Amino acid sequence: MALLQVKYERLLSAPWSVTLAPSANGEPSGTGADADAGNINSPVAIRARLNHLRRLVLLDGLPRSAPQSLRSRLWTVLLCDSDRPSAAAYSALIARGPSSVHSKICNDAFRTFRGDADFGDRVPEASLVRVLSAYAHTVADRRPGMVGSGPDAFSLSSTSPSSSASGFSSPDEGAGRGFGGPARSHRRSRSSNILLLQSDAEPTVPSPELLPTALQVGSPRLTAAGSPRTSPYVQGMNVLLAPILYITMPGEVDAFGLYRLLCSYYIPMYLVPSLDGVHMGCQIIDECLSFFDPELAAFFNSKNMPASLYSFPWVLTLSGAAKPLSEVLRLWDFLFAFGPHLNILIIVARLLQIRNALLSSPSPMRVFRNMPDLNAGHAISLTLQLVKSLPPGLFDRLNRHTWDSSLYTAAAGWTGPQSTPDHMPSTPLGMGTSSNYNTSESADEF
Amino acid sequence: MANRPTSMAVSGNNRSFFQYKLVLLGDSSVGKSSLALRFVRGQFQEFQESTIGAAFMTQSVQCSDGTTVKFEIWDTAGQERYHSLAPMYYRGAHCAVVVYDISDASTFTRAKSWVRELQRQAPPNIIIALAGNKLDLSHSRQVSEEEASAYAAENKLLFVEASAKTDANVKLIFTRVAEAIPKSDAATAAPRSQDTSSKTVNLGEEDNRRKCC
Repeated sequence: MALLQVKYERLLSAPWSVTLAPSANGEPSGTGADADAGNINSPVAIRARLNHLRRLVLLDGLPRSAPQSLRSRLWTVLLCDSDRPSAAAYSALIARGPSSVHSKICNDAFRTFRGDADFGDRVPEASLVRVLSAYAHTVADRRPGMVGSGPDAFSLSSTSPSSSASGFSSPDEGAGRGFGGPARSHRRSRSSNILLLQSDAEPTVPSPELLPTALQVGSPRLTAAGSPRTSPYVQGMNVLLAPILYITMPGEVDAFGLYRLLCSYYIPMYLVPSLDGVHMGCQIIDECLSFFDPELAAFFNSKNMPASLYSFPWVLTLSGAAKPLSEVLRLWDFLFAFGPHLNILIIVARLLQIRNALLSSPSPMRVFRNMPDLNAGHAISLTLQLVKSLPPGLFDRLNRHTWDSSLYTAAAGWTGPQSTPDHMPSTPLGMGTSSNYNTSESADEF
Repeated sequence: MANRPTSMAVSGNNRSFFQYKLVLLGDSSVGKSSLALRFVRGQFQEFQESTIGAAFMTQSVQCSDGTTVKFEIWDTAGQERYHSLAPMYYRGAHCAVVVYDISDASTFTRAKSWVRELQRQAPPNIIIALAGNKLDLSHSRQVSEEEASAYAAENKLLFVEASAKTDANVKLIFTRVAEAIPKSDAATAAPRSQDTSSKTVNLGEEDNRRKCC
């Protein structure tokens, strides 16, 4: 076994569960970090291990020869999946039968990644359908405006009885209390992922109770009214699930846990019914291009090609539909280590990598149809350079746009996805693919 | 593309090349992408990935009058959730192909609602074609040709039944559309405030319902 793999094995085998008991009022008692420095189960120790793991992902990556089961454990730790569903709970969801979006799910499941023979061999269509359906059921249980969830076994685990529906900060508080871990604020902990790249700020660990003894499906952060309610299913969510299932198979329950966490905690704004987060992600791409490559931005502008026109699926799926799948997995190792919001910069990096082809092409949309294969390592290196020089305001929005609904208010300057069509090409020739035939009379459109 | 601009008269009075924006609409998995890929690349994939947002392609067809029409095809996602994105793609479109699956009656209902929406919201002179896909599944047909054809006639739509799988009539859909767009009216086919589509200038009157092929 390669030395690197041993390192991963050793790190991942370490305890990830904070053993400090919460005090009576639910506040973590272990925040006095210094006192616990010698305890491998202390928040400080866990935080340090998580950082170590992140650096390992960044600097060395997971060995290509490593089994996918190792990656599955890696993602579980990186995403801090402390609420892994039990097989029984998952089975109970499945036993409910078809969800309200069953036909939509079936319509997409059979054709998900079917061009990839290896994927087809490994992931049965039925597994995709089951996991997508199980998630759809959990969303249906969350009625808008309700604290907690529905009437069944997936209601709140009651670790945070005082979670209120008073706004989007409540689950942060709730989660901090509920797990006795160091995560006082999810907002802070999410930001910390990226801060690790920008400064030496130490990240907190959201909820390092990775192996709960109690089978708690549902947690404040997953089910409280505070986190945005996603669609039960929208086309593209199958692509989000596919790589996860690929690495967890035959562990469907694990896939469900990771997928649910990803959708409802990390990128809920991408999956709200209006897909607002995807629109904002596209806007951020436009802004990043203006900042990093004004020439390319002006080129897209001249062709009336906002990012929403070409990068919508890349944003929504976290580049999950890129080829080959093996590189997508390496990319997601990185995204899960430092935050899925960084996919926006990955997209920008990939655009910069093909900028010359784009700039010299009369039909940039055609360049997009023939995107070079993803090279995760290259895209990540460039992303690391970009993130360092991002202006603070843009950086902040990048950091929050996948999950923070408070960005999506008029007060925050959000005008909604309807603003995108206004920038859309309104002439038939404004699509940027026809400059072959362009003459001076309409050169301004291209 | 077969036609290069260098030899094309793209301005002036002797136009033989036209470029139109075409949007594909219809319910999820009726075969919009499959029709487009068959038309553009001559390929068919049994398990065509579902479209997220929209995909873009171009392809040209020759019309019987010697003109060449290049389509900029926007292949949209079918799921209702993406409905709000659709105006972004049919805005400024010269033509729309509304697709349904002949073996699934519910998709025909959805196609009709797309037609209604286009009639209300799209450019007034937009050419709409109704395409019944999956003709290869005629043994399990749920939408009769008569019914669809009557609906199309009533709503002044072009109508073709096709199969992306067997390639039956696929090109016909697009050539019909190409022939149907009144070249003389091209500049007003997508009347937009900023529309400077002078590339589609008046070539003189043409029969805008002439059949080709």
